[in-house]
Amino acid sequence: MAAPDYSVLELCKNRAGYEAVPRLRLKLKLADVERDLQDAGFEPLANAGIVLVVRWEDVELSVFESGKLLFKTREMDKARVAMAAFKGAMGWA
Amino acid sequence: MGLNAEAIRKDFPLLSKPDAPVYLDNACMTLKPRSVIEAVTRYYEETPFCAGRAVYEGSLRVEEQMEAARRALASFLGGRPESTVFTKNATEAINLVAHAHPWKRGDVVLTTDREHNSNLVPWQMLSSRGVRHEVVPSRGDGTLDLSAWRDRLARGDVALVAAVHVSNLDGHEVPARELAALAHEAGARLLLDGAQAAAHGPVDVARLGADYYAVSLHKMLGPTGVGALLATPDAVAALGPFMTGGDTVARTTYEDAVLLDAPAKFEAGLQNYAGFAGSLAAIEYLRRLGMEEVRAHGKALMQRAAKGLEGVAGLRLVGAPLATRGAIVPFALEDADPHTLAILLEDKHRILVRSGDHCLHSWFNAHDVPGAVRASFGPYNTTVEADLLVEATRGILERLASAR
Repeated sequence: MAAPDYSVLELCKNRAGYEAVPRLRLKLKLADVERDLQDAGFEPLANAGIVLVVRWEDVELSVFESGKLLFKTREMDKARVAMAAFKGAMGWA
Repeated sequence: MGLNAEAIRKDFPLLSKPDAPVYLDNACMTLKPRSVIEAVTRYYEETPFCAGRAVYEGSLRVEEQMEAARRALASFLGGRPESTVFTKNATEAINLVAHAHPWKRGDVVLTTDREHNSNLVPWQMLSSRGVRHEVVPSRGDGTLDLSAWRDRLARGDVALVAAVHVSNLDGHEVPARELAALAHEAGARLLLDGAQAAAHGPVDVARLGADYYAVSLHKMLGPTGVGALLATPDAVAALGPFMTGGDTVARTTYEDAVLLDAPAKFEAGLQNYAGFAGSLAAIEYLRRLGMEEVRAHGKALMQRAAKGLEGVAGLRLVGAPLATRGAIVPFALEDADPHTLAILLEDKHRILVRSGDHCLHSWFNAHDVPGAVRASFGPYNTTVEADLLVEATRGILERLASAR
C-alpha cells in the first residue's frame, strides 16, 4: 500500500489532543494494524474492531478503519513523534 | 402547520447529493439553501463592485442591496435599521461593545455561567481598563437563578449584563425579558448573545428589552462572514468608535476626522457585499419557513433524540431540563472519548456532530465534564435522522464497551 498523504495535525478544541486525517479515506484492517504496531513497540490497549487504541510512550493513539488518527496529548511534539512512529510501523515512512 | 423537512431538503444542494451526510452540527453552522448560494454568486457575476463610493449604476445597486439586507435583518429581529451595525459575526459584535462602551474604572460586567468564549473572554480582557467581570451561578439544574441576579445587581455597580439568549451547550433559553427588567432597574444595560436564538426561533429584540443583541448569519442559513449588532438608538449612541477608516468618516483633514453616525461609524472599510446579498436571501427563506415552525421543529427533534439517547447505556444527557431547551442535545460519555464517537459516527454512518468543549471550556471545567458530543438540528433535519443518531450511538458504544 502506498504511503497515504495525511493532513496536517490539527488541534482538537479540547483536552483530547490532535487529529490526523488522510486526504483519501483508507480501509485499514485493524487486526493487521494492531499486529504491525505491536511489532514496532506500540502497546495495545483495546481493539473494538472499529477502533484500535494503542500507546506510544505516554501518548494514547486511536486508529480508525478510515485511517483517521487521534492522539491524546496536549503536546504537539509528542503527537508528531507518535505519528512518525506510526508511519514507520505501517511502512509509510 | 409543521415544517416539511423532506421538501425543505430539496432546497439545499448538499442534502440533494446521493451521499448526503446526516448533518447535525447546526449550532456551529447551518447549511445554505440554493437561493443564498445563488445570491452570493450573482453579486460576483453581475455587480462585483464597491458600495457607496462610486456613481456608476452597479455600485448603487450594491449599496441598495446592503441597505435592504440591513432593513430585512432589523425587521426580522425586531430592531431598527439605523442602529443595526454589520459585523463579521456575533463575536465581533460583542467585541464592538466591549471595546466601544464608555467604561469607568470599577464598572462590573455580569455574565451567566454558561457563556460561549465569545461572550466571556472580551469581558475578562477589560480588567486592564479597571472593569471587573463576574459570573452569576445558575441553579443546580442549569436554569437561570433570577433571585441571584437580583441580589447581585442590587449592589449598584453593574454597568452591563452580558448573557447568552439561547445556549450553544444545550439550547436552554434564558428568561431574557425578566433579565432585562432586572438589569434596567439596576441601571445596567443588557447585551444578549443571540447567535443561537436568532437561528432557532422568533426573536423580537425590542420586546425582549435588550440594549444590544449580537447575531451571526452563518447560523441562520446565511453566508459566513456576516454578523450584526442590533442596538437601541440610545445604546448605540453611547458607543465610541471601534474600528475606523474608510466609510466611517464624514470628513478628514491632516489633523482630524469627523465620524459619521451609526451604523456607518462602525463599519470600516469595504464590506462583505456578497455576504449581504446572501444574508438577504437567507432572511427571506427563514421568513417563508416561519420561525415559530422552525422552533417547534427543532424542539421536537431535540426531544425525540434526547428521549432515545436516555435509554443508551454509557452516556448521560447534559444540560438544563428539556422543557426549557431548543434544538440542541449534548451528551457526555462514561467510558469513551467524545471525539472517538464523533469520528465513528461519521465513518460508519455519515453523521456529522460536534465533539469537545464547544467553546464553553469554562462550563466544562467548572462541572468537571471531559467534553461532550453535541447534536443540533436545523429545519431540514428529519425524525429519521434523529432516530439514526440514537441507534448509531447505541451501536458504537456497545462495540466500544465490548472491547473493554
